[in-house]
Amino acid sequence: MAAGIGVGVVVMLLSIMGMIKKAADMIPLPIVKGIQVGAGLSLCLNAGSMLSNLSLNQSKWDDNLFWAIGAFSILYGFSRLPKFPFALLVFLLGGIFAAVEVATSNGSLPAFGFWWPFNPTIPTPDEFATGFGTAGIGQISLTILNSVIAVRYLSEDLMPTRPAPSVTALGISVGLMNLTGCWFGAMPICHGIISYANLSIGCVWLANQ
Amino acid sequence: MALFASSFKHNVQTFKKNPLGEIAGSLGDLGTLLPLMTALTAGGSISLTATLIFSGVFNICSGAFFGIPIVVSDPLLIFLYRPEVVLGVCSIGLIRVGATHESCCLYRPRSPAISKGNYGGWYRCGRRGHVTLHHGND
Repeated sequence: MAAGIGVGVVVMLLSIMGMIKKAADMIPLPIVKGIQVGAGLSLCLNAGSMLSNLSLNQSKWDDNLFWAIGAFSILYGFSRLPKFPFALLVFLLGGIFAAVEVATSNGSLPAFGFWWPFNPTIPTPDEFATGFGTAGIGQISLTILNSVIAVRYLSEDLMPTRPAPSVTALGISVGLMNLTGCWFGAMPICHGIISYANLSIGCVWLANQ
Repeated sequence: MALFASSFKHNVQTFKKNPLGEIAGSLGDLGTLLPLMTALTAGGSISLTATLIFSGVFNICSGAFFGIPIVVSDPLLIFLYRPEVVLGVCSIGLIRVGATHESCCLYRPRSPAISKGNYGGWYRCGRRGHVTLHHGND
């Protein structure tokens, strides 16, 4: 939380002062692309390390390598049909698995209720120092590169018919989001355009069931 | 306001063209979001309800305003990255720009073929940086 608030304040200030615009003009495109390739690679490695804990014959029927191989085969088999809604299929299957798992393990099923958002969780100065010092400072550069500058370039590349959002608008958006949610215990967030990392996502999702 | 109106029109048209594909695409980011969100909730660092409600509202707002599939995602570094990876990629990138005078073409971002041709090189550099730093720390 503290890291998110810190990053939000810095990105917001930089955007309002126009510094993000200057940084975007100065940073060469391949560095932005390099950061993105690194992010994609890191996600693939993460998916791989999650899968490495699984085996074909596991005591749990819904969490084994068999499902991961099945998901990959379907994804690969339908790769010539880009309109095939693979993620939807895997999501529904995962939902069914989760429901069966909860219902058969004597766990309590989720119930409907109202949520009162106004019990703010304000970080103490100590929490702020640790959170912002360890995670936040490193995140500032990545947020600016990956979530503001790269999103502008990706938007131009992938959706040339749409007006690309300006880096200042994106920066203010990231700042606003973190400065709203984090006070209520929400996870720090930033922007991104769904990209090539998606290939591994079916496996990650299944592995997490 | 003009951007918002054109975004709305574009969003409706896109959804009508391929509704199932759009719904499937909207689930794509769950693969990175869910593992982190469940881990952080289990660890007691975040409130799951607040996270779901706020990120849902932000997703709707940014999609309606910008009119592009701009997901609200998790800041990877806080959870996944170590700062030295980012530093490694950046510094090796800068050294390479300086050493090979690539900057003359790099500073013209509108030459996509050249910059995309560099992918392989950048990937290798970044990976090598990562491996070196990682082993250095062990």
